[in-house]
Amino acid sequence: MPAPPPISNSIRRLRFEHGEMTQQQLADAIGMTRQTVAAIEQNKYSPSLEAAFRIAEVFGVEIGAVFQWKADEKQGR
Amino acid sequence: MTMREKVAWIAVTTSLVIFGWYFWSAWADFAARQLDGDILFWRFLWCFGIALVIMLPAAIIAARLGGQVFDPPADEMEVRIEAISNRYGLALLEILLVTIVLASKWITDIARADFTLDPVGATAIMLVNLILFVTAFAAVVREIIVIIQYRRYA
Repeated sequence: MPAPPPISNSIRRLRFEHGEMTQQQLADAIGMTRQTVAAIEQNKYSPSLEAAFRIAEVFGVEIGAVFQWKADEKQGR
Repeated sequence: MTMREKVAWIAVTTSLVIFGWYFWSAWADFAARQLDGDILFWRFLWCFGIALVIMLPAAIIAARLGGQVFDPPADEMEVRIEAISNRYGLALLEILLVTIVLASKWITDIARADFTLDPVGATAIMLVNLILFVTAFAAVVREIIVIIQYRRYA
């Protein structure tokens, strides 16, 4: 498994802010398994651009509010 | 645990037990220099049938117990896991098949020396069982890679 990219996400916080949405509820909303949502949330798996947009759509926010590029790690490369 | 990982566990466990026994018995026949194509053929078919009879209901029961769909559509991470596993499994199978081809001369020599009554038949039996073995081995390795990836993402 390749090293995760320098991307962080706010899915856990967003789930909490949306009525304590469960991983399963989010997974059902975007057509994925709970395990995949958990892997994305823990930054072990980078979703496709389409999946990232779907997640943002569920929370009603821009994609940048869900996923953030870690600029400092990028510069360190 | 996803349904696909459960299926991988069932496939690995069943294959190791059922086909492990079959190849062990085939090896024992070879070691005793008593290869019989008919016996091995029917033994393999029985093992194949028993494996199917175990795997299919086990997967259905696992789906029911977990409240999951038996054969859900794969999401993108599962597709990626399958693709990586297939790539390694296929590469391994290709290497092992080429190895069998390269070893065919040695196998023919064994058949001529130790199975003097029917060296051609013995060669065929040994080659077929070697091909079956590497196919089953590559399939099990592929499923193990699936399990490893799911565990790493968990």
